[in-house]
Amino acid sequence: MKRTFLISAVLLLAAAHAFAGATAQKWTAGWDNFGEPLNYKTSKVTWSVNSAKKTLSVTFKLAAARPNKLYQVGINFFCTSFPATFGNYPVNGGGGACNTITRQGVTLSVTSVELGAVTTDEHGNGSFAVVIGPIAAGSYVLEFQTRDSVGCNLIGGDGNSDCADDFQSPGPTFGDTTTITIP
Amino acid sequence: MKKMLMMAFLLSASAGFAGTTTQKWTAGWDNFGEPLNYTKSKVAWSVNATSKKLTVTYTLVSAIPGKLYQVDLAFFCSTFASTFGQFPVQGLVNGNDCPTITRQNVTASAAYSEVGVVTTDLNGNGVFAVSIGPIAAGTYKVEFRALDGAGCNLIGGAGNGSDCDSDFQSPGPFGTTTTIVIP
Repeated sequence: MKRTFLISAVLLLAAAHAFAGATAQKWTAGWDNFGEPLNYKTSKVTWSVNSAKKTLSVTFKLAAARPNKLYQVGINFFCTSFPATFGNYPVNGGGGACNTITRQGVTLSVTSVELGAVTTDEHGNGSFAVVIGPIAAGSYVLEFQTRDSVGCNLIGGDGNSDCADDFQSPGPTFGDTTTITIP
Repeated sequence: MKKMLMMAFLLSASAGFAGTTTQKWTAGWDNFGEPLNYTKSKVAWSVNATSKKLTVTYTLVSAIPGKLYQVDLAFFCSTFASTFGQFPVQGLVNGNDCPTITRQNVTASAAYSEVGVVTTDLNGNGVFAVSIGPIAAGTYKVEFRALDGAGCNLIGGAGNGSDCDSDFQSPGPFGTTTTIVIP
């Protein structure tokens, strides 16, 4: 009986270690556009790391945004250099040295990956969930972003004519980051 | 007594959640050369009779990497309501009439609800899941589609050009439908 209890406890601890709890973050406006409608109280980004599989799960949720609109979602990394891929997604520009940009009066070096699209319904609500991986071990300093359209750095949308950022998380200022560690 | 209550709960839950149906994609109905692993790609759907919701998961494997494929439901109809759950219905004429089109030598009347986008990774793989509802009770004759881009009848993409063309349909060919019943 004791042995069964011990084995169960060890299995539970191992499972808890592999599946870290989900972190939920709020969206903030910008860093390019500051007038796009959104219910900032109920909208969120939720992410978690599976350390055994080296995967990152992210769910992008928008509430009361513009109805029937496509918003491209992805991750903006703050870096000096970056690999060509992040898990199963290509890094924009093919990796290498990160580019310096200035937003909201802050100048930093960045690169990015495009992960998917949130399509809003007639109420302006929508969500998109993605599993990324396996990801190279490391600490990633990043902001989640929502662009004002779809097609930026991808085939099949309106191209790179509208890559502007409507929502960032955490923000509220460009360069306010979340650190995600892949063991 | 406890056992009976548990049995009643389980029976009620199983009545609410019908089983999931999985369908294969076929090519077309507009484009027939888009790459796809037809063996591994699929559409899975289920109806929750209690909440009157339809859940659909669109999976594409080995399509074009880094591409946006808008996904929808094509309803084969003579007239149709202006909404399907929380999504507007596109393509209606003269109020609520479904316009006639000819594809693959078959002429039929159809209308559409655009519900999301599959974004492929560097391997051409991508998944999008959506929950639609509550949906008005009825029997719906549908084909699921993946379009050749994103923005058809939505804000923020490529607009209403060649991206409205259908790369993949399920079940297909044009006019071969799945019947979904919302009780």
